[in-house]
Amino acid sequence: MADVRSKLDNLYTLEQFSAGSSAVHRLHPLVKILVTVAYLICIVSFDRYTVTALLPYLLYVVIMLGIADIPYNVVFKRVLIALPFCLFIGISNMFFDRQVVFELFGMTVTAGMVSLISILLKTILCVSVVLILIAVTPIASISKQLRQLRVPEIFVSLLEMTYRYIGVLLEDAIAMITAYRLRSNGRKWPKLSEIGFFIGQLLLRSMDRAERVYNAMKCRCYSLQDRVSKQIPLKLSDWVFFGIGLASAIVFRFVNVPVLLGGLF
Amino acid sequence: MHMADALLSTSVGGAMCLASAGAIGYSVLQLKKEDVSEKKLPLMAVVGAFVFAAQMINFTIPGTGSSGHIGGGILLAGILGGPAALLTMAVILIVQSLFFADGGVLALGANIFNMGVIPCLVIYPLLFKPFLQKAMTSTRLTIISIISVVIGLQIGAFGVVLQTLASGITELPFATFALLMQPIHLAIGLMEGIVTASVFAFVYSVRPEIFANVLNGSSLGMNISLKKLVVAFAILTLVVGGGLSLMASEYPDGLEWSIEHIIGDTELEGNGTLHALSESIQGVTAFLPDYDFADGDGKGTSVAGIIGSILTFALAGAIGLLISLCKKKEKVTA
Repeated sequence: MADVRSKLDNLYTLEQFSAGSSAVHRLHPLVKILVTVAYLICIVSFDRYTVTALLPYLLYVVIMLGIADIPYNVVFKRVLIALPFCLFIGISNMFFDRQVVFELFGMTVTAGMVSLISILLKTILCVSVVLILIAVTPIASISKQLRQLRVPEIFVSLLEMTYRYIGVLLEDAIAMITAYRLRSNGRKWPKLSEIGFFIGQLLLRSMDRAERVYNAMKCRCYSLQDRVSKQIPLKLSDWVFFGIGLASAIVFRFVNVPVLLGGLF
Repeated sequence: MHMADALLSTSVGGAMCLASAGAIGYSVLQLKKEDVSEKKLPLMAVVGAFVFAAQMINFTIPGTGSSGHIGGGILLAGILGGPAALLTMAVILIVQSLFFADGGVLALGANIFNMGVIPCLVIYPLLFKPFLQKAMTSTRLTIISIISVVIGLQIGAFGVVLQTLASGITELPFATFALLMQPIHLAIGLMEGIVTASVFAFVYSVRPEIFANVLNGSSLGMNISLKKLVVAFAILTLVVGGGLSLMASEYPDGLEWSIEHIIGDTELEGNGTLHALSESIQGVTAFLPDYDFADGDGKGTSVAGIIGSILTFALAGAIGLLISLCKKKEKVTA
């Protein structure tokens, strides 16, 4: 149960962070989305043996997390989720790619090791960059921005509603699991023979809820027309952030800053 | 099954995003045509959230002691119909990638394709729906659920293999990768299939009307012989799971070689020693890695790279420390 609870807490934690009021929080959602995408594209476009050139991107993570006041362990926990499959690919590279690249303090470093480190770094960077966007931008502003970018209304509404209902249905599921555990004589999870009834019951409850939700929405004048909301103009600070974000992403992509820095000595 | 950003190249990720965006656009149009989208929306949203909640519920797999959980595509399609299920699946994957770091954001296209488009827009209309339209009984429902989930997952897993290899991130030979992925996902698919089938069986026994949209509406498969279709899919799965990997083992990592060749070609010049080295090791290929430790003049840059990396780390740490110190001061003064 703790795992179900923690998933729910994770969702609420992010939402709490996004309600903050730091300088980063106040930026226009559009520039935050664009800079995030630019960073992701630049990071992913490096080849599999890149290590040093990726490091400067950590600056963005450190600065943004610092200004937005988000603890590092939030990032760390999420990296752990993304890690297993990446580790599998990375470690298998170690076995298949044994070409020696260079020696460091008497230890031979193979191409596979370099690519493992590169994959891990990319994973950490990509996960952090996305986390930063979500932790400093409320979902409502993101979906508003999506509407303005002409994403179909049905899709945006679906995203908003699904997000809202995850919390509700997780609570439902937790209640069912609690009830099951209290009556199942010490068993933690349903048996395979019971799972159909268990999940099926949750499904039926959800569908009844959907019916009630629809009626309630109809009573409040809901309709699925394309909504046009007023566009918030970009401020000077937004332009500055956009300029610096985009420029840094591109400069770090084409200039290997650590090698340049090291070359000074 | 969720692919991370770090495992995809920009071009593969971008191409898959385009493909999935097209499929989503098609589904939106289909729903608009049906003209029930407004009433369907809350159902889609709640059922999407249900899949989330249901994935939290583990079950004990008999005899192993380990536990599994349900998948989504076919389950959603059975209740919502293909296009609506695809949209819901896409939204689930977006939420997973944004809020739970489960799958990357640039990799969304690939993930939506592997886990949404394949079960909802391929398997469901071609296999699941026509099979049940012929005759709807709980046995048939069970059989087709298991088959659909297994085939969908096999094709999806094969998609992961192809996309990862095409991205050139892994050094795993094609055959090894495929032989690892396919059997694992066969086992997962069987479990998911059984669970999906038992959920469907329960729902069908309590409220058979939920499957109305499966039985209604036009079907693509009506003028195609169903037996042929099942056989075709079975063959496809076999080809995907076994045949191709066997064939590929004759030409180990053929896909990789060709990609490496294309990428490596442009950088052949000016790297004579490294090229000779790699050529002597690899024989024919133009394998020429861009190790950034050894680009250009070799050792010199690698030392510069290491010193520079340490400096970058120190710089990042210092900035982080500085910001947190400033914040603390602000808090104290405030």
